[in-house]
Amino acid sequence: MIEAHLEKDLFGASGSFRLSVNFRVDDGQCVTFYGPSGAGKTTILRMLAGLETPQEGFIRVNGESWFDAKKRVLLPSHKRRVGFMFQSYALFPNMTVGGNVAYAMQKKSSAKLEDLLGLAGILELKDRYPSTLSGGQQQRVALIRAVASEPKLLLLDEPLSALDIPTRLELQDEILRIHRLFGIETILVSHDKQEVFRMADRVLSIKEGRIHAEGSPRGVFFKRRFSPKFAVTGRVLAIERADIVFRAFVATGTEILQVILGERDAKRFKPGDEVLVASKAFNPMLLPLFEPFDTQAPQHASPVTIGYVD
Amino acid sequence: MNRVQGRILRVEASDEVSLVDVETGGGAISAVILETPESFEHMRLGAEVYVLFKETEVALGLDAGKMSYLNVFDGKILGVRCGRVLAEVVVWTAAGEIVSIITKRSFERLGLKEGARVKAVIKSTEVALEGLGVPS
Repeated sequence: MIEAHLEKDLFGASGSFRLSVNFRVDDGQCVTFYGPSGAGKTTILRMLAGLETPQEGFIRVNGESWFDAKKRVLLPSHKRRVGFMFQSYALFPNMTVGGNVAYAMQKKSSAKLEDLLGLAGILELKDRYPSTLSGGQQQRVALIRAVASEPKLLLLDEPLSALDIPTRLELQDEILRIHRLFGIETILVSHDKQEVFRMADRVLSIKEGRIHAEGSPRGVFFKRRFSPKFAVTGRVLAIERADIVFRAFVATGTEILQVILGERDAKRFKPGDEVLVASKAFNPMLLPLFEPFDTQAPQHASPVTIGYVD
Repeated sequence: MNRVQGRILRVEASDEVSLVDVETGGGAISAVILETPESFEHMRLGAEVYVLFKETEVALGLDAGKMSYLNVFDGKILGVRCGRVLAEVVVWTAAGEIVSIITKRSFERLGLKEGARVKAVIKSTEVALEGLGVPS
């Protein structure tokens, strides 16, 4: 179990603020810090890793004190058993995959190394150099390197944000699998709601250095006032007149949606606004994505159905 | 979007599908909601809500006749804006102002004009709720 209370004055883009957080990670849990950039999420990880020192507070890992401002305890970074994984792969370019992972191991053993690489499904990449690997492969190596040191705490700082969506989903599963296999307390920093929803046992939503919501992803993200089930967050790109109504173009994830607005709503919103695009679950239609829609008559169609030509 | 304030009056639930009646002060508006009062606190009896529905989900008629719609409001046309295809009609009802966007063709076919009496009709599956306050 990890318990921490961290305080530090930070200087963000919009002025200075005080980072002040109190949190706990239970045995074997994956906890996520979710929030906009500049909220202090990465600073928290750096403090846990010993790369930055809080002004006040404490860090206790399984009862062992890593930092305590009052008792003047400060365990140096290299003595903290922490596995780290960043957005940039941070592999040693002059070492093979095997070399990179072996470097992190406490006790070097080629059998153990092969076990680890096998676990991550990258045994066949053992003798390759990082520059010859895809982004997804490099992050698999970075992940297994992070756990190779048998850390007490795994820190993941937006590790997948540089990857394309299919690779990201694959690596999310991989991180979860490794996290469960090793049972290491894991802290993930992310600003991707889907990722948090998929990966976190608990989410701590952080804004300007403060935790303003905490709980299960479901509880934190769906604490809502609106009943609609078909809702996505997005940003207004443009609002254009069309006859007497208006078309709002809204960017959501990788898609751009269009929403018809009456005049009053059109005046309420402007490009750049963050919005919730909501519809009743009764309204959207599901269409097959790949098959042509009506090349075949439905199986249960009545034989008298007309208009069907071979 | 139309937004009418009201209070939860009655909930009839089956599995996760509920028919919710919201008292607006000028008659109830019914909404089919995929929640129960347990799963969505703003659906508890007495909770204050906004009833939300799009202008394009409001039909207008001279009489509602024998139709499946649960939400039928008597009203009077306060104003009209006509385009080439669509018409935006503001209707005053006991539940407050309701804006409807229909085709200009229908508007003309019904012979509607400012000051005319109409029925504003809303499908209950197109009505959503926004919570305001939950009774303690």
